[in-house]
Amino acid sequence: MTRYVLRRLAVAVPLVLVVATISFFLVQLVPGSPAAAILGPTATQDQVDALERSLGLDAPATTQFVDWLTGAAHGDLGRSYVTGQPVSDALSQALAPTLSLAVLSTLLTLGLGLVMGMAAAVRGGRTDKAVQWVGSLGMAIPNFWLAALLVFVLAIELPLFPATGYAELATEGLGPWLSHLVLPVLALSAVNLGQIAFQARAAFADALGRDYVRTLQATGTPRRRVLFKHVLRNASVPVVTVTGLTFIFTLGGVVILELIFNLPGLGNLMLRSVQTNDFSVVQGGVLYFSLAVILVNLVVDVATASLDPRVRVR
Amino acid sequence: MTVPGTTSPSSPLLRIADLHVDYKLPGWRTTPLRAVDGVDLTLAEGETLGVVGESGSGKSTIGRALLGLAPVTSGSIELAGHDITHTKAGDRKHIASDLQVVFQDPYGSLNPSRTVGKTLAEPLEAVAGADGSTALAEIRGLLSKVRLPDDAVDRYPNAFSGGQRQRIAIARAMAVNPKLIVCDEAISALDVVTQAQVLNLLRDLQRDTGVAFLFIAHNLPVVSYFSDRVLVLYRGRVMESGPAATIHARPAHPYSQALRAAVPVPDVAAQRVLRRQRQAVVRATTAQARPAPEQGCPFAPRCPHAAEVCWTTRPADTPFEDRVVACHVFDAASGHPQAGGAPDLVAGELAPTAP
Repeated sequence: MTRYVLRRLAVAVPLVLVVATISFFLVQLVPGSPAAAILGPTATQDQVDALERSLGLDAPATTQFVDWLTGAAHGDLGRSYVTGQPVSDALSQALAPTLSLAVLSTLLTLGLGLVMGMAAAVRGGRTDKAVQWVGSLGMAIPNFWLAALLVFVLAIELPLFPATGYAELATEGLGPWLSHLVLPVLALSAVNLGQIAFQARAAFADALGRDYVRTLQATGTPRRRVLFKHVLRNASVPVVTVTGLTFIFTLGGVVILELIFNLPGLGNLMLRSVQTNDFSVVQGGVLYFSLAVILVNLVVDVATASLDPRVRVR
Repeated sequence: MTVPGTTSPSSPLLRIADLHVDYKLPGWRTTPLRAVDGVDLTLAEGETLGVVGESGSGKSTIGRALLGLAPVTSGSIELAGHDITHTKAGDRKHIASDLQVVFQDPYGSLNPSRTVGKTLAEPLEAVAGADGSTALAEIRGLLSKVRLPDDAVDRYPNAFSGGQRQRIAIARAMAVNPKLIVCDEAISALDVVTQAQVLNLLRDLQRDTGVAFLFIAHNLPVVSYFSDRVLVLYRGRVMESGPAATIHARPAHPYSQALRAAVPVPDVAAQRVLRRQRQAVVRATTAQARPAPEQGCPFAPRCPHAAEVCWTTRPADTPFEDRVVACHVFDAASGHPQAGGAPDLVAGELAPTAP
């Protein structure tokens, strides 16, 4: 198992490097100079050139890349062209709301989806129908619409939760933090819930139909033991894989919800930076997102391997 | 129906009487499919009863009904004096120490995410209530009984071949020292050499522990080689039953003859004879045959000796030599034109086909 994790890590590290390279040069391709954007439309060409020199933007792209990569390796992603704040500070601040949202939503959908899928596969009949209805409905509703509805019902008509904003977990405590996240998490989870529930339902149905389950049943193993000791583990493998995928999609989809709920997250920050040609922040943000994807994939790989011994051998 | 020529003790280990099993078909207002149609059988302790028939003959369903996996419509199943006809899978804990099973597929019947040790410990913990350390000692004993190395305990099923896996499944069935093991096509998925190894292993285990086998398979020579008595099943009914050696050497029922002729032999000349015999005996496969009559003999559509009576009357179980045959030809009182000429019908010795 340790060897497997090390092997996966050995693959992940060069991947980070490749992604960093691509993200840097991709941003270089974007038209428009940040210096021109900072100075506004009235600036003369001389002023723009001077600012570019002072920001180091006149150097060849390769030199800029080497400088940026050396800095990034030391945790220094440069400074924002617009605000002058260190990029890593800006990103770290924005990371907390986004990560809270994505992690809470994933935990919720995974837990609920597993229970729904298991109930549908084990009980069948009406339970199965109900799960399929709820899952389909969740997938069919656009999350921005659901967000607006949730705000209207649970924040305005029935003021249970704040409609917008974010409270730091560290400074303001668990209660306010959680209550600010309830509505965005609900809006975000509806789509993923259906996906995970369907996956879990199929995985459980498949595992329940296996011969070893029939053998266990025929030889007197109690039902509960069969379900939780044998079926759950095998059915979890595809569910974990799909959960990893939905987590990654959630990170991307979070942008819209951060706008609606006015959360100071990564999505909001990236959007603002793109609009103001704040390339250093965009570059750093892309790197953060890529790192998150690689990390999640690593976690999924390790989780799958610990659930299914056959994966480890491959 | 009792089988003459066998020693039936006063209370057999297993007694199945007039068993009917119907499968509900999907759809609205469909007639249920009758998989087992009035089967009687008894099995003594330490005995091996072979159940043989082609696909869809209901042989596996009998095993499944015994294990609580098939819906019993009517009839009764008695194991060691207890009626277990309608004991659901959930309440089988107390039966499980007497009754275990080995299924056909050695790849599907072991949980791929549990080590062999854990798989073998499962019945010990779930049924016998053993704890970890005593279980481990027993598991090592079991592994050596089925001739697997000690280090198999920590390995996963994917590290083993089909024959080895089937031996693991046998070890699991033997773990709780059952009185009866249902072998449902337990060797059908294995190659011929491995089949012989597994059969010999089962035989050795039987000699050492006195376990009884209900041996379900489709290959008449293999079943006869391994069993004391044989039951030939067609469309859920018993066609012929009796001592394994006689039924294999001289099958009486036209269907038993067809079954034996269906197994190829290595000798080309003998195989040619066999094929001619088979073509003479059976005219069509089940799928091509006309539907079986509701009242008559289920084999009538494929039988070369079918007469009017076969389509209208269900054949009675008729004693013939040392066995029982459900065929009008063997029943002098049936009104079949060939009735009484039965001995002419019995197939003679063929080229040796036993493995």
